[in-house]
Amino acid sequence: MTTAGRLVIGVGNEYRCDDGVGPRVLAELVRRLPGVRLCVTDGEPGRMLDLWTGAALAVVVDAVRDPGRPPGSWFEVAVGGSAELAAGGTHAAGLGTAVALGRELDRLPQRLVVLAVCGQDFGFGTGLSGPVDAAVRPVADRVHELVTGRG
Amino acid sequence: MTHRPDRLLDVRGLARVEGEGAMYVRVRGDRVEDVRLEIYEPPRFFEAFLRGRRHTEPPDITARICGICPVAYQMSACAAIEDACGVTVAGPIGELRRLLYCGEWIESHTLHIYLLHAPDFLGYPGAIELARDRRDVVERGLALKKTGNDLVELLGGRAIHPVNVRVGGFYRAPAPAELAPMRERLRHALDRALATVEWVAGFDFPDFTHDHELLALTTPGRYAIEAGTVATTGGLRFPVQAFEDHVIEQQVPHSTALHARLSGHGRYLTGPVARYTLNGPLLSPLARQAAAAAGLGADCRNPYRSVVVRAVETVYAVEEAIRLIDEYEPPARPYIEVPAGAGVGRGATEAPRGTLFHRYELDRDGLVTSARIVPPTSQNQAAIEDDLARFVASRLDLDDDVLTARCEQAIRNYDPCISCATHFLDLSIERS
Repeated sequence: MTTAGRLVIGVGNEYRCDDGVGPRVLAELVRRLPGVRLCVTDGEPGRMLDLWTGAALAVVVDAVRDPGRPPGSWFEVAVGGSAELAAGGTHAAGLGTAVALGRELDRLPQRLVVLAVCGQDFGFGTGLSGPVDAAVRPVADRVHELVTGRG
Repeated sequence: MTHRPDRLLDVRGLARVEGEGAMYVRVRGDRVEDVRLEIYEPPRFFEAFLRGRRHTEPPDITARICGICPVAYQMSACAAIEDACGVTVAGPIGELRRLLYCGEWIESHTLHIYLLHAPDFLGYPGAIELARDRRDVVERGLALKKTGNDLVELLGGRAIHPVNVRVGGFYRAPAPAELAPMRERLRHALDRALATVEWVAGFDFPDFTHDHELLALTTPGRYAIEAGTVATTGGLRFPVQAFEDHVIEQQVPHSTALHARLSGHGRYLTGPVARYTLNGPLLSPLARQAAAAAGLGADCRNPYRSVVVRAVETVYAVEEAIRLIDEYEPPARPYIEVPAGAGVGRGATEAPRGTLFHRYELDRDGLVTSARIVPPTSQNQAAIEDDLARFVASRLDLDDDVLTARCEQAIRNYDPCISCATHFLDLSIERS
């Protein structure tokens, strides 16, 4: 299957420990997905809309904070017409705001899948915590499946 | 409910501002007893961990202070380091810096106008709800913002935390042909910027004025952005090297950002309104025309009209970017060598939110031994609190919800970047 019109977006800051899991997963995919657009961004809604507008498939990898799940666990959200992601304030204006804004402006990709990885350390510094680091490979595998049409 | 003897407006998490802050207003009878813009975002230690770093590193390190205005941090850091090393950067490299800065003004101002501030005036809780009703308007804002982002990316290598800036200039200067497509996009952006001025000029502005002393950089012959000397409406004129002689920072218990005042003068305000009031005649003819058509006079003392000033400055930044591209001649080398040496250097530039000051002290090996960063939001805190106190005092007839919303809007007038402003608080322990 062609990978045209498909992109992977890694959201996060590699200098805030587990928040860097999105960029880290993309680094893992550089060699495995040649020709596929891989983008690292901070999640600012305007940039997210610019990246995914017109795409057939956008896979977003982002870190989340969820006390109810163990660090390193991850889950998949297929964002549909009525799906909701938390939209924070401007400082935290990220994926939820981008999706909500994209919906109002009719600028969502045809298919949007979010892979959310639960982090535990969002402090200053580089490097992922052990559980989150262990999730990088399976999350990358799942992105690969989605982009190559096996997911 | 109105006319209660005691009222408390307490917003723990301010929305539509950059960073984490709160607002606290206590009213007793008809008297505003206490007003606090509480900045509780944790300290970020930048000034501390710059110590021991090479003189080439502050532009990249301090860019990380802010994702909205990283160029401002890079430009002020470069200016201060170059000042410490006795190097002056001008000519084509200086013009490229100004062009890069124009991109940041465009994206930052547009973000604030469309996504943060406009919903206040139009009665929407946020940009998403605004987009639901006015898709055309929000699309215009996003397109304008994208032009600014792309200009920063074109010159800086990426839109946030650019990687092409270095002490002395740039790692690589673009060829004129690389800038040509951007010029065409800027022509469209100019139409959008002018439409933005016209749009915001139609907002309903509360009748409110302040008397803050205004502070901005000034540059002979042109609107100050990437360089200048300091001027105030109180008649002060001093070089950036004397900034610390005039600006006194002080800690207040309710903020992790230091407050600032002018020695012998008191609170002051920096930012678009200050720039416009001090440098308005140096705007381009088209920007001045747009300002006049929008109802701005020679100065602007209504903080709610700052949204109009930002729109006018966006027009100017777009026009200025076009001019700089038209006149661009690539420098022979993209940077000037800045040899390491012992010294103290100071630099200031006009960030979108106001004057941003840096000072570095270097040892003989060029390692940073001390650093000081004074961002615009910390300088503006006292003025914001003064606005809040007077605004509330004159509108005690409003119920709490409306008054709280108006107060939040009053804070957003200044586009505060709280993340930029936080500092580490010195801790001293007295033992007996």
